[in-house]
Amino acid sequence: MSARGVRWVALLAAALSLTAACAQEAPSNARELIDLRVPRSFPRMIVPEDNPTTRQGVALGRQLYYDRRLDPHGARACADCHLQNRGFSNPMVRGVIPHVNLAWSYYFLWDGHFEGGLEEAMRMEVEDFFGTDVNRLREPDLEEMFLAAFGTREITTRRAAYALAQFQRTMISQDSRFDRYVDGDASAINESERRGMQIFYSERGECFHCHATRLFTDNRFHNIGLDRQIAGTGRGAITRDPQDDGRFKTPTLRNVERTGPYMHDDRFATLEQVVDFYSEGLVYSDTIDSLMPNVSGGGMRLAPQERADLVAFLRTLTDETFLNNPDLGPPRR
Amino acid sequence: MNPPPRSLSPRRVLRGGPVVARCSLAVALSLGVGACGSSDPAPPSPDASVADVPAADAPAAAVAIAFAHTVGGAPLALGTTTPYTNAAGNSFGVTRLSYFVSGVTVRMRDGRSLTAPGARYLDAAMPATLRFALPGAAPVGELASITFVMGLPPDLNISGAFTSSPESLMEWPEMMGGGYHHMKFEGRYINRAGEPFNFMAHSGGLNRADYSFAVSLDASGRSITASGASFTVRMDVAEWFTGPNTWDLNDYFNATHRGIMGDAAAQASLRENGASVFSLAAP
Repeated sequence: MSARGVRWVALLAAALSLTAACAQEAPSNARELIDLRVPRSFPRMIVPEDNPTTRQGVALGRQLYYDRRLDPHGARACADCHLQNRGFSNPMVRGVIPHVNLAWSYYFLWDGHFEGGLEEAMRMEVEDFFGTDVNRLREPDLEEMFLAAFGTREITTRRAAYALAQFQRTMISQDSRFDRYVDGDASAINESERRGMQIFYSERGECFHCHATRLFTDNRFHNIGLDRQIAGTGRGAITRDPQDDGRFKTPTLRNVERTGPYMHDDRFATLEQVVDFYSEGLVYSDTIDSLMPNVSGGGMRLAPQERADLVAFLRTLTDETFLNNPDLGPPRR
Repeated sequence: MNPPPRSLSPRRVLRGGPVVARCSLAVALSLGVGACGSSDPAPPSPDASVADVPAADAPAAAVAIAFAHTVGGAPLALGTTTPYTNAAGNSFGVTRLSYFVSGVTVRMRDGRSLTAPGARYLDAAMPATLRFALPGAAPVGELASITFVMGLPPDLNISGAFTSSPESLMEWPEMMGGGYHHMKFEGRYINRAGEPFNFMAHSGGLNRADYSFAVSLDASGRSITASGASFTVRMDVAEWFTGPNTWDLNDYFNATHRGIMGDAAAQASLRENGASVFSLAAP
């Protein structure tokens, strides 16, 4: 046999040996990349190179989202605190942040306690919040799903978090009546809602600078004038910078009709109460945001009809497609 | 202040994998606008890119531009107090200052020039945004001027042009004309009642009118050497409130007139005052 032939045999043998060693592995090309269909009007979504969104990864993430085996005590799943028909929030759990459009977040929780990408946030959920015991996940159904998603049956908290992140990236709310109006359907909102939109996108209402872009959040922190005593609260509790006292992350307004109660401490039960606060309830404190209008006068000072119009507009942000999307619901057995 | 994205928490540093390269504004714009090399051997014209100049005739160097912010000559300190006084006698402070400049250009005495194409987002709370290099190699020689547009000229002020934060957060509402803010200049002042009151001097393309304006700073006596050069453009924020128009903030920001985004006269007045806002720092 020629030297070249010997080299080919050696290579073939090496390949066969690798194949045998990796008999538990699945070929990576079996994983199907998903087109997330992010609307052109949305900000660019950042997807890490080491965690592309695949059909198999999303399926695993969805399974884990609804699976109480993630909890070492088997008591709760993500979905127990994040109800789809409530915009993936929960009125019975204090301070829950709705799980929607989180793919664009880089601060998580009201005070930005966790910073980073979705993978890092989900890792915090798995490792710190749940304290997941991977031994509880080592069951045949999940091992098969991990094999399909990551090419290995070996279950780690990192892979579980990455799968959850993939699922979260599919939780995109983009089909509210407001979206349809902006995209050209003038009949999607009524006259009252249109008037409310005018207030929302004016300095009279001064909503849009913080509830910005089609995400309806700037992902930043603001003191909106809820309290006079702010020392050590909000972002300031994290950074220890008094300039950050009283500042909380801007929540998205998508599906806001369903995500009450409102504010970081759930102090307002209804949207009407929220608008009343912005209209006449602002109080001054040192770090109050310079975007807050007419603080010494209490706020926006809207007439009753204007308040009703603004609330009506906020209700146009309800996305029934998202709230009823079966692909975001419990996985079918 | 809001820290820049992806800073590290003092309480917990999260681990992250590499991120898919997000085209930076500078890269995207430099791909789309000018700054392309040319083999045309024609002599340089006043508008020519340095790439039009044969290398043998024009030694090249790197040029950096920095933006700094002052109040009456003293460095601007962002904060919630009101330590400054404007021409109308209002005590004021600045909490937020972000803006676009476009087409920053170094112009040489011999007519050559070098441009940073497209727009740059500048934010007084984000030092990394305040200094940038002009792409390509600059010619060695004596300068005539540094020019740019304050804000976004109409061809760059297009809704949806910026897809990433923080640039995307400069959006200007569609029902006011769309596009982006030229500037967000905010803070608080002490009003006639002696109370702290917020001001929001936001400029932009109200109803598609163009409130951007050209700035030309005399740079005679400055030069680019073989080792490069760095120039600092200063914005004196107090100058926004004076010039041809003296702004008493009580008149523009009060219980019934909350801001100026919808006020065409105020937009024009602010643009006029912009004529004296920028200067070139001493070498």
